[in-house]
Amino acid sequence: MSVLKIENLHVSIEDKEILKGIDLVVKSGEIHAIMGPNGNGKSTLLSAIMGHPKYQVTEGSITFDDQDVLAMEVDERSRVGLFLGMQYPMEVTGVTNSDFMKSAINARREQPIGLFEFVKSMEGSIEKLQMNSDLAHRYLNEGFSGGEKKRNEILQMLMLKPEIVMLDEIDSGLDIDALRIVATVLLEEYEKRKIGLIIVSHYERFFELIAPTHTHILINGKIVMSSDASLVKRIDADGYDWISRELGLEVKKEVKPVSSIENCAVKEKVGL
Amino acid sequence: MARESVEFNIQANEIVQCADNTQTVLNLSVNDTLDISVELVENTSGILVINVEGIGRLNLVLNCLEGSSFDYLWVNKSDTSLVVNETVYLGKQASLRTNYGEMTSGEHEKTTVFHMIGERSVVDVRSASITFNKMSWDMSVEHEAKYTEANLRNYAIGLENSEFVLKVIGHILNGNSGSQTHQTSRVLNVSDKITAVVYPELLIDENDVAASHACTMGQPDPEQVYYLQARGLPEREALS
Ligand SMILES: Nc1ncnc2c1ncn2[C@@H]1O[C@H](COP(=O)(O)OP(=O)(O)OP(=O)(O)O)[C@@H](O)[C@H]1O
Ligand SMILES: [Mg+2]
Repeated sequence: MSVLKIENLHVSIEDKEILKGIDLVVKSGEIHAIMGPNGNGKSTLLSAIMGHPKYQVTEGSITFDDQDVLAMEVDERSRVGLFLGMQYPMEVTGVTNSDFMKSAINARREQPIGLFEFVKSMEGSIEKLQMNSDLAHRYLNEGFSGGEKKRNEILQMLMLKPEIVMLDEIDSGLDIDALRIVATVLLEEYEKRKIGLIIVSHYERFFELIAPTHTHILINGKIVMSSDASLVKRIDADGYDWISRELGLEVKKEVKPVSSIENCAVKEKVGL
Repeated sequence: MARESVEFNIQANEIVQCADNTQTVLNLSVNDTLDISVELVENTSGILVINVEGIGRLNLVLNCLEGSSFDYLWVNKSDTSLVVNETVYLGKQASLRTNYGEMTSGEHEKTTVFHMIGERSVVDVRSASITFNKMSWDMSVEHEAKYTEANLRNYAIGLENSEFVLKVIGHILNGNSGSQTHQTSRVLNVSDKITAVVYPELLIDENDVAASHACTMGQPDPEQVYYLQARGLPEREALS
């Protein structure tokens, strides 16, 4: 069994503190939902666990089966069994999806994978995810649609067989059918290999398909509330304001002009 | 290590022999055509420094005789139009470590050929080129004897509107088993108006050999490197 343990994690970006003391323990066989308003640090948390160079850990610790994750390079973290399906997967030109997968698999083996075994595994995974088979031979994520990129993240997860799987808004960009396919594949992998999951999402729909064993609310760089799947329903129905009211917190609102226009529009509708 | 140092300013055709345990500095000033031949004597070691400036054509022959072991530093200071033909012969067990510095705002055309004619000869090349203008470089290694070894590492940075063409060929001829030829080429473009082309080539006529090439162009995007690393590829591989 694997354990990912995060203690008192403080993270800054360009000297601005984003995470202000996160404690979280995730074990194999657990599904943790992380929710929270935009810009409050969910992606920051997952990126810091994976080791994105922009995010500086200023305090606290992350361990994986008692190994010091913070001392590891990004690629080592991947090889010990951490996986992050990203909110915005990168496009990398010049390397095909299948060559990339082969190198990534070989990076964690002594003997390079046999061609037959590789092709079988790649084709099997592509089929499971009902992806277009030509995506294997295209450059990594280049020109992929939003949904194709997200499925491709899951494809990589299937092939790399990590212990702890973190998914950052994997559901955004997926159509309803794709959402169901991805959820089914994830659950199958969860049943089969007893992985631990950390899922960041804004929507109840995904958590209806994959019932979390734990739910956490991340506001202003802290986990302010933790409970079970029922908390997802409450957020879906009531939003986050009640939490901040109950706990007397200030929610960090992203000051984007776009979002304030959206807010106005909503208010107008309510006023009618 | 206290070495003696000798310096020659050369403007006309010349044959130079480098002395043992000495740093030999040749300041070549090209005007029209200059033919220079340098000999590294059997079983000697030392440092050879060549500074080049001027306009025209330089034909340089470097003869590394059996058992010689030299560090070779080349600095190109020409800001005009220069054609360089460099031919290097490596005899039995000769070893040459070359460092090429090209910082050019002129138009440069360079051809470098290493002939590995003696068994167990070794050449190790590092080059750093910064181009503001135009540069082409054909570099090749001819493995003409058994157990010869070449490691070529070429790095370039392109600035402004430069044009850079690098062709690197490792050629292991038939019968020269136990030979190795490796090359790495990296080009970093600092502006997007730059044309840079790298042709890495391995021509292998023999089975029992080792060869590799790696080549990268363009600006490494840290987000892409992170993405590849996050899937377990070591940073070195993610960059290539
Ligand atoms: N590279 C960066 N440079 C500067 N600020 C950043 C950077 N990345 C994130 N931030 C800031 O850090 C804060 C937390 O961002 P983060 O991406 O973790 O939010 P999130 O909770 O994942 O939001 P969302 O739900 O919108 O994805 C935001 O205020 C964001 O603007
Ligand atoms: Mg996010």
